[in-house]
Amino acid sequence: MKQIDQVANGAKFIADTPHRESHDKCLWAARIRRDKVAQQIPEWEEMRLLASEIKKHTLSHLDYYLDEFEKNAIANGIHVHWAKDAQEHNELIYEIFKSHNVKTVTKGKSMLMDECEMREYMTERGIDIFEADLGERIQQLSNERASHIVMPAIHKLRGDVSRLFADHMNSDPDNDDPHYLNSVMRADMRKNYIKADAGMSGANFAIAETGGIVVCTNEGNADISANVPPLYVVSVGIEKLIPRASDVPLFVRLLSRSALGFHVTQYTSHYHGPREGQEMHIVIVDNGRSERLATPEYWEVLKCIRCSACLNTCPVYRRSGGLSYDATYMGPIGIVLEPSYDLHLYAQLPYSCTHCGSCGNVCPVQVPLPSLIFRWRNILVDKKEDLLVHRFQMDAAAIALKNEFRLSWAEKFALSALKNTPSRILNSKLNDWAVNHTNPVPPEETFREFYKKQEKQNKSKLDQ
Amino acid sequence: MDNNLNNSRELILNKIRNGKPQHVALPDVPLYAYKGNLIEGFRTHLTEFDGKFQEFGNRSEAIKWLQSELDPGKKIFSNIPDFQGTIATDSFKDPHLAHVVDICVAEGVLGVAETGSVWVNDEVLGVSAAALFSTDLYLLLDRSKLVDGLHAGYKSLNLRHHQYGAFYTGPSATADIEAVHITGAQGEISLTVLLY
Repeated sequence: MKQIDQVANGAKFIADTPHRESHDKCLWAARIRRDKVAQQIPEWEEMRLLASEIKKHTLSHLDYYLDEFEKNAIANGIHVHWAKDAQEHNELIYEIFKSHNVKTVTKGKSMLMDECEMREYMTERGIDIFEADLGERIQQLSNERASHIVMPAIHKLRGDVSRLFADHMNSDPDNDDPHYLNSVMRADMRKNYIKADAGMSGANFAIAETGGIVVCTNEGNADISANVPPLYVVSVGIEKLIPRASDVPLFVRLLSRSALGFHVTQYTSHYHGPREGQEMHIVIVDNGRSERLATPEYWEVLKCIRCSACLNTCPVYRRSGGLSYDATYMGPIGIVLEPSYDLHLYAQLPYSCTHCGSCGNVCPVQVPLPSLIFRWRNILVDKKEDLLVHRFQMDAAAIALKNEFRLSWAEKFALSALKNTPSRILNSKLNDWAVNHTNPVPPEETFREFYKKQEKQNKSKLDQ
Repeated sequence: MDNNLNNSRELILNKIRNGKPQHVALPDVPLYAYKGNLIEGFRTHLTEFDGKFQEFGNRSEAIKWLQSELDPGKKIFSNIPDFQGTIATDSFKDPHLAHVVDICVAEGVLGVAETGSVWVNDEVLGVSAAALFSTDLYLLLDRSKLVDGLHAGYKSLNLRHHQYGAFYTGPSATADIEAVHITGAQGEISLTVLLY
């Protein structure tokens, strides 16, 4: 059965120096900005803890808060729907569109809709979904997934975009100025907004107390999609709930600073009902989340607010690019989420981690990403989903590490192998370790032999 | 279909009831304040987000400035009583039509020093789409409506009172291509706050 090989996919991106260097530079700059703005706020670490506790509280009473949210949203004039999985989510929205004779939809970013493959579902049924976020639109036209949660096309260079836009929007293929490309997108999207029958977006937060949603964006595309067409459809994962309006500023202050290192997003927008003459629908989606909630040692993954701080800081993600994960979610949060959708398909993802721990340190809601990654590795070994070669290595290690005598024998054997194997073989492809390194100059003796000798010398010195 | 949906509602809520973790207490959120000078902080942060800032001694000076600055040849949508636009405010029963707007003028509800944000809603904007489709957005703001931080801002708002309410912070922007920062994405291209 097929498995995603992030290492092999990433190697291709790594080999492409211009793309890799630009990618690494852009994301590291976001991480540096995040540190700078976080350090300007004395209460930053306190806020992270509070945000984590509020999310944990909400999750521990999620049935209550969902019910409260639904009640208040309905009182605000919003139609509320429940979808147990991706298919029900798509069917339900298709029914809404069909009953309103919707042909053209402009859509703000939503990771949940990506997760449900909503766009593909609608396209097959003759509904045109126009991704209205620039990065998301680039990815739609490229037939690729988003490679980053908040900057979906950050793995691309400007030249890639100018060629793509020239093919699809008749723009100048030789003009790769991002300002020009942005203006091409603006002009093209205006044509779609003007004829849009419906608008769509995800939500960053759903407030139980007020029955409304918060959408944080920069480009204005989500606000246009919500405020122009006569129909507005929002998808919300059950974990997006927060209890009170007074919790919103805490999360808003953490979100954009963690994501891109800016104080806020240009638009921090709140919807508490349809405008006159409009219909507003919110689809509350489970799609595996309630199972995560019921899994001890894993449920805290639901605290995630999808800010991307863990992506920006991850040394593996920054160099190998988001598409190498071949999944909806990428980077540290991706390798922790994706195996819960399909354990076999994504079994290798938890190994795309150096255990540096940086993701855990920057997460604004203290999702314990490093220990969740380690947890998946335990499960994968227990279920024999890890790579065969890992198992051989571990079995060999188990033999060598069983007692002191065996270990000292293994040390001697390894040193002798290093001394006596011809370098032609030692530095060949047979030895994975030597692919990007040269083997060290072998020492005269093993450390154990050296240590024992020293001890003996010291002892004889003392005796004198 | 309705039956199915009700089933999903119960299915999801039951799964949550049976599997949710043990009670965790809900902490209070302190009103973390921004410590600097309100007007200075507001101006600094607004301009960091590429917003423009104009300060006036009183409201009528601000209105005079609008009268002298804005080109009456442009399509101006104004939702404040003391400055006439060139488009009637009831022109856009269908918000799709608002795409013709060049300039939009509205009253800000409150401003936040911490971020340079201005709160607007469907009521002060009149037609929200007019602000979003405009090229140049002008927001008037009474200096007594400045608050220090976002916590104080949310405390003074009742979110349920308005169908649409938003903090606008500088004009629309994007950094989706090589993280190059571009001012003026799909919403307004310029945003000017007139503080009086």
